[in-house]
Amino acid sequence: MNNIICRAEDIHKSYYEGSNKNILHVLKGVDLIIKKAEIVSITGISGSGKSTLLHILGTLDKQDKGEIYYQGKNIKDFSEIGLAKLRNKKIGFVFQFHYLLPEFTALENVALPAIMGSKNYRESIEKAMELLINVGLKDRVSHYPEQLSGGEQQRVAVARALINNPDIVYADEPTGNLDKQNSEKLLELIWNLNQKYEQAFLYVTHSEKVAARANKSYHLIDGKLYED
Amino acid sequence: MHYLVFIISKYLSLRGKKELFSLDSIISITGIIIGVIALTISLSLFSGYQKIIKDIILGVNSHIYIFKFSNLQITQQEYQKLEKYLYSQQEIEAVSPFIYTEAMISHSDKIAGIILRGVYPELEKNTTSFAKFISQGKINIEDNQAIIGEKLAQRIQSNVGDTIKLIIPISAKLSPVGMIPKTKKVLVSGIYSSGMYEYDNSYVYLNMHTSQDFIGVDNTYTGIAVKLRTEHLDDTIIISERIKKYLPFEFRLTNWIELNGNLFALLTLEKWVLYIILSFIILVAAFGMVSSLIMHIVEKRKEIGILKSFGVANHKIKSIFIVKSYILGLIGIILGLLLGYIGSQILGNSRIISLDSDVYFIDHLVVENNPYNYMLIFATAVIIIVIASLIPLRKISKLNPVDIITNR
Repeated sequence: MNNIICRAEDIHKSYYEGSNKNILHVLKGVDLIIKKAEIVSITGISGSGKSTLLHILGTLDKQDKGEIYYQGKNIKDFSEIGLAKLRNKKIGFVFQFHYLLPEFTALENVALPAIMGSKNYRESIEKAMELLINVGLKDRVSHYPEQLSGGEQQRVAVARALINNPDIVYADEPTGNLDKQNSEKLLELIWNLNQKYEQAFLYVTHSEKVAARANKSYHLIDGKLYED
Repeated sequence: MHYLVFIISKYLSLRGKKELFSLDSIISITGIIIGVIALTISLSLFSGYQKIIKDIILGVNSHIYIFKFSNLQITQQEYQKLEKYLYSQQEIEAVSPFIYTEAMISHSDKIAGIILRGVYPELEKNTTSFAKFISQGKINIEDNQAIIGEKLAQRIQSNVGDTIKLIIPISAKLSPVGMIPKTKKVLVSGIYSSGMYEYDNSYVYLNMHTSQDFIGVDNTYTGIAVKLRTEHLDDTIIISERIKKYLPFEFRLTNWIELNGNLFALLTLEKWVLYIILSFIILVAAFGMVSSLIMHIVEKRKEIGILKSFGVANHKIKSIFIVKSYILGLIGIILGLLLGYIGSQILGNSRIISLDSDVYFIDHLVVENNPYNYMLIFATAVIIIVIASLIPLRKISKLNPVDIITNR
């Protein structure tokens, strides 16, 4: 029981579309359990609600119905500040676009969530350095985002997601913007990091091949999850 | 290292400076610079004007005047008693008696109304800047000699060495054709130039003996001028009240504040109006900064969203933007103050702009670099920028990371 990081029960989410008030019921009762150091993939067609589910699990968005527990605590009991703290300490994100801050070097970008989370500056920088070495960017630490290739930028983003030692990293199509070679490298990296730091990964992808590498693969079909 | 120190140092780094001094940043701080320059120069010039007016007025006039009611003359005994009392007051620097009457002057077919002042020059120079203002001739006035105001001299076309005629309508003799006013011919021995048009255009100084003889009084005075020590100038009203209590009932007293209070109140009011109006330039410039800051936030919404998704608190994200606008604002203010200082020095020293002294008392701009003015401008600009920056920053709290990440 203790190694369950996140448990979602009966998650529902609807969107109102346009002015004619069409209700789009995207998630229709999703149940999911993510355990420590587990790599989980979710596939589904475009618009099936993969990203929505990921945002809800990552507490960035709110479900209409259903409960989400982090280590046994229902996130409904958290305030906005409490949720921000939860995200800062327990959750990491990697998105399809890297969203690195252009004024900051790779090293600073990685360290930023830690520094801004009021962690010790020196420790944050040291940890960021370690992570950048682990993602193979030892020679790129003082480069600015625009001086990095797409693959390198995404690896910086992965390192950033890990800076606060989260229990789980949510990745939304992390390889969606990369070519085959770089995608391969990035996935390799995720597996290596998972081995090293024992963080759980949940990634959303539309590539069956990428999905198949996970410990557990789910398909999101018609608002519900089905395990492979 | 605190996260704020980290961010500030980031903006001050070479690359940060490139970001900091982008074109729109430069345009937005230019407004602040111009506003601060305008405010600095205006207040410096106005303070300078205020100071010079005060200097002139307090130079020409003494600080407290004692008269008798109904224009009665002060007798020798009364004067000696008062003089003794006045010198016993530690705030009082000097005392001098004087004759004061309205009269007329004529020279080469020109006639003008004047103020006739009879003084002991060696005493008068202690109570006013009389000695400083003698531009030609000696301070000492011999019998049957006069020192006349510069503008008056021009008006009646007389110079040092000319003989002029003084006329008083009082103490006239009766004749078959009516009253004959009393006249006296005197030699112009000096020219008086205080810079104050009103006085330079009407004052005629005689020595005490000549003036007493002319108006027909026997060793009595019209009034007593009292000069306070400079450090007690602000206590004029208190000291006046104390002297008033001592004076016998037939005496009255006035002081420089009563005589010129309206003028100084007006100058102060004008200065504040100027300050308020020119502060609006900074306010308008601050709105320029606000719009540039809004653009900046819109540009950076993705980065803001990502920081939010990492659980960075709103106020910390805001601080990144605050730091930028504060650094820019501070640079604008300091540059503005510096350029304003230089500009006012140039205006004050080079006499590019000349004034009509008949209207403004002075013929060129005078600058007074009062540190309080600079502090006031600095504080005003800082407050305006701080308040204006708060408006766009509210937008950051409202940004929803999911909307940004999903491009909604």
